[in-house]
Amino acid sequence: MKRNKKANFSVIRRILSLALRHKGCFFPGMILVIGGTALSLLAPVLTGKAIDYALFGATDFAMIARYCVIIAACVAASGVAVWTGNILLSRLAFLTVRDVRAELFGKLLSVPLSVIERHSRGDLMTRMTTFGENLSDGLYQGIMQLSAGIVTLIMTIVCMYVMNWAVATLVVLLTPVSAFVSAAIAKRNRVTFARQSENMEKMSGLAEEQLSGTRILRAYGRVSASEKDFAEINSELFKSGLSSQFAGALVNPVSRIVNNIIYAIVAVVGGLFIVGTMHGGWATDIAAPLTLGGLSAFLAYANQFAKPFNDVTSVTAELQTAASAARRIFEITDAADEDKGGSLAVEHPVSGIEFDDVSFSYSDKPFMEHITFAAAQGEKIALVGTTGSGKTTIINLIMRFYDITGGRLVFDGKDIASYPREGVRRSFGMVLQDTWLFSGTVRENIAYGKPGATEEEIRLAAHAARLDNFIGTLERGYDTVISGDGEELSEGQKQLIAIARVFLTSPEMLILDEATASVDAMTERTVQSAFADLLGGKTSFIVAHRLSTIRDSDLIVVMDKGHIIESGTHESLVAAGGFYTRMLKAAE
Amino acid sequence: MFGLLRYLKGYRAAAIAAPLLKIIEAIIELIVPLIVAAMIDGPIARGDIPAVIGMGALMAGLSCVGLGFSLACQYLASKAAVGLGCNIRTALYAHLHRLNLGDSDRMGTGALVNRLSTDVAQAQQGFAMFLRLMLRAPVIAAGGAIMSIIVAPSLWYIGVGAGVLAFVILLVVMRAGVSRFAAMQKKLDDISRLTNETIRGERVIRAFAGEGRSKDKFDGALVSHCRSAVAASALSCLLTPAATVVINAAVVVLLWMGGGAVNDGVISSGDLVALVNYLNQIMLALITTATLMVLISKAVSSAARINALFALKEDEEGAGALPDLNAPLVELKNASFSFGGEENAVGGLDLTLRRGETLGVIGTTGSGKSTLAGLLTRFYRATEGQVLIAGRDIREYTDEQLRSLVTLAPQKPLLFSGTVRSNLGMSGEIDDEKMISALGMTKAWEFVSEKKGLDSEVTQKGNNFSGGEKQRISLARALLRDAPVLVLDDAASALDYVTEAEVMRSVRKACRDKAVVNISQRIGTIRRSDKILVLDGGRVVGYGTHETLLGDCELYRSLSGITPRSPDRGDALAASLPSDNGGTKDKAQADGGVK
Repeated sequence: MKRNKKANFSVIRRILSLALRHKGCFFPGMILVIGGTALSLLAPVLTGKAIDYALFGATDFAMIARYCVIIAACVAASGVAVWTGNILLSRLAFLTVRDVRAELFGKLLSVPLSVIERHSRGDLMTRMTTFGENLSDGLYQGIMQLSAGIVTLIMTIVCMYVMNWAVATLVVLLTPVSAFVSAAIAKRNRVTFARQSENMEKMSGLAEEQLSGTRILRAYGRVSASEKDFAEINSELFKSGLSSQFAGALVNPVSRIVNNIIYAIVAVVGGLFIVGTMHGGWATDIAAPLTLGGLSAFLAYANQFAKPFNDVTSVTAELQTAASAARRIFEITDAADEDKGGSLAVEHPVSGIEFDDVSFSYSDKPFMEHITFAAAQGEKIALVGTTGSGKTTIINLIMRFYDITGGRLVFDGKDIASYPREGVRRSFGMVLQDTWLFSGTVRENIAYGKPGATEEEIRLAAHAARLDNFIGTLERGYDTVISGDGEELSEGQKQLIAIARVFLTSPEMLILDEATASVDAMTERTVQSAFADLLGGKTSFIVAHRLSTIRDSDLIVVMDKGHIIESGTHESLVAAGGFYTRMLKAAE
Repeated sequence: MFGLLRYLKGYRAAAIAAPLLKIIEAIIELIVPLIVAAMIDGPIARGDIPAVIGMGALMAGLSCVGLGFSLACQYLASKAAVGLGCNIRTALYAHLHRLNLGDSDRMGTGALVNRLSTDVAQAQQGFAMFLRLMLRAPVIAAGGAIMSIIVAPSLWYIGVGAGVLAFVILLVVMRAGVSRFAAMQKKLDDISRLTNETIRGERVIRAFAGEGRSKDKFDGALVSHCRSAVAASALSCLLTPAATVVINAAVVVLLWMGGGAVNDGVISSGDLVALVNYLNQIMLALITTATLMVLISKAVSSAARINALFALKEDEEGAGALPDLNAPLVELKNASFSFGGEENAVGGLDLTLRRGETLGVIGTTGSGKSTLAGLLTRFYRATEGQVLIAGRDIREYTDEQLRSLVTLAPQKPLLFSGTVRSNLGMSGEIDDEKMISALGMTKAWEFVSEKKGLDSEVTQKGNNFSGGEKQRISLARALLRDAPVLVLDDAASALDYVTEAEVMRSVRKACRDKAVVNISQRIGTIRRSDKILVLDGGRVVGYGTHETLLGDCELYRSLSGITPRSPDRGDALAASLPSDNGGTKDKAQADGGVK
């Protein structure tokens, strides 16, 4: 608990240092909020003064007019100051979270893929969106309420002491009661809130499981049983929800009753001081005279005095949320970037790629061992094997998405690490099973690898990828906007766009990772013929979906559980009658 | 928001009583300044100390009474809001299990769970605040205005004017605020969309060195989000200072006019203090409302999302029909289905299947295989043509009747947390012996018995079992159902070839008197079926036996690895292999057509 607090503190310091980058918002914002709040707190005193000049038959209109003008000026100035101050502070919060998000986003693209793949997509998205929101809320509320709260506290005390030290002392002594009460409630609330969120989590867990299994529940007539389970958890949720909701609802009335009683005490004591001032003079004797207007001001202060205490309590909770949200974001932004790789320029043509006793693991457990094979320039290498055998891992290593943990991976005669990652990656064209399109036009998607491509180049690439017909059917042709997941396109069309992309960059080598696994058989033929053009004499690595498509490879590497169990040409493998042959036969 | 109030059932009284109690409390609160005024003009002016103390005690006493009302209100309001939340959840949960599966697939489980948890909680919180605070504020404000009229009828316009003006400002700002918040939310959605897109495309972006461009695009989204967020908060920040300024302007007017009134003896000094007090109360009420704005606008948009979900159609049950046991168990007549787009997901299906027959269905991913499974289980309803089960249109059966006729084992083996027994028990079978024998048939008993047998724990979604193990348990569960039609939707796809062959053999044995529809991507799984349907892109490209299809269906031949050029039987090798994950986790499962 204590360590947690300490960690929170250092996170908050870090957030503040990020916020301080926007000094232009930070300091003016705080000064305006503090100044504006202070000015607004003068209003009760000034109003009180004016009231004192309103007397039956003896009203001093000149003085009232003067105070009216002062009040108006103060309040107007305070209104403008508080408003602009608030805008500046919220701007500060949004700018800071913008910086944090930009950094987080940059990290998503610069850390090693292993960091990304350790987390689920949903997890990363939550850090970007929800936690970002928590951070900006906490930052804004934190700075704004803390500075406004503290200045309210100080200002109120000063004003009260200036008016009457005795009554002021009374209020100052009584108010901590209010603070104490609200702190006690807040503490109790944390317990009930924790139980409530626990139940909420349970409910979400159940709903997640049962809703993703709705097909089975429906097919087996178990929906009503599932509803019963849900009702059980829901009634738990009712109980804990009621107690946490009610606990939260206690804060206002309870702090109000404390406040009201202080108000009554101030009214009585203030009344006594007025009596003492007018009738006995004892109040004047102890240098604490009070007028009617003074009482009015005191009552106004008594009404507001509990607010800063409540604010500070609620800010603590908000800051805790923000701190833990920030910590989750920093977890990612603190991850080390992927190194850029070596500085050797990639020279074309690349003479070949060679795995020399390469080993690799995703975790502590060794996954891939003793991988040895070579691809000479212009050769077509096929990688086959069952699910999880390590075919895609080979691709990940060649593309330097992951780094080998043992052995040597040779690129153009030298260790692949001596070339920049980007240089290695750009020498390949890659088509994956899960086509990636982004929200934008068809043209932008095709030109992704070569943003400066001319119209003519794009047209040629689309033509080579057999996209002419498809683009012809689009109302707006190349300018048709597609959504991020390309929902409106078939898998085949998406795949052809990805192929056009590769045609446009005309890379030296190619990687096809299950590129036609999601495409229907008719389209596959089109895609395959496009591939044939694309491959034409290029060094290529193909993870095969259907064995018939890789029969003519120069080398077929058969993998199982992270090892190469055999390799050779189609003919030699069939002749050997090993695993490859079994795979061919098993499907029959 | 208000559309959801129909779920207030059982809590209506609380929802009505709560604000009423709050109003009583507010009225008591409004009496206090009157007592102060009386105190100033009476006891204080006279110097009557006991009376001053007495009136103070009266104020404190009234506050305590007020507290009583207030606590009662808070309790009832909490109860009504939490009750509303629970009722919505119950109804929504039931609705989600009856929702058209096309819709629920499109939305995704994550979004549905979000509606059920976050959005309901948000709406519930908003409703609680509405009952507790939103209704109190206007009462205090209006009450304050009324009281100030009672105190000083001649100065009526000050309280009324200030109240009305402040409320107009509040309404205008809130109205504009809600739309600006919505605009901001949209920008936030952009941020989330781009993040999602980027994480999905990590490999391609890096392969094409597109990091810089992605960042630029994202920075653009960030800047416009920041701008719209500042615009939204500029409005919400305006409320508190605006309320303060309006009320203090009223105080200034009051001091000026009131000074005159006191001078003329129309009102007393105590009245003046009371009037200032009322104005301050109006101000505090407005500020409270202002701070609720964000919360309420969030609740409103959550409520809208929930309502949109409720508005989606549920699948209808049939009125009930008696199955004709002499008719073919499964019959499709020119059945087509589309998810709403122009193209059919499957089109023109014609087939007949009798007791004891098996139908193999083969095709690649996206060929419409799973859509066919959906048609047979009524998860999807034919948009054209007819699906008949035991001689009657599938739409005529009640859910219960249909479930006793058709059973499904899906590709994604859906297990639920509990035990192996509780999962198998979903079939309606309670006999341990039968469960064990079914597990034996699917070769699941070997690994289940190694654990704790039928009492082996199953964690959430069966994640403590491998994909192949889950499929075998799921298959055993399907075998335990005694429905005459069994649909296996790629139900053994995660098994290796040898195990799959053994499992399928015992399934065939166990289902001799059933009609089995066996959907697969592998020829080996379905080649022994009585009839084989070859699907491609939602169309039937072949229907016949293994032998006839080898003769006349080109796709079937190529799926069996026979290239058109060399129809030499000896070289008929090849397979469609299961997709490869190569060690990276969480790759989207290749899914059959139900996209």
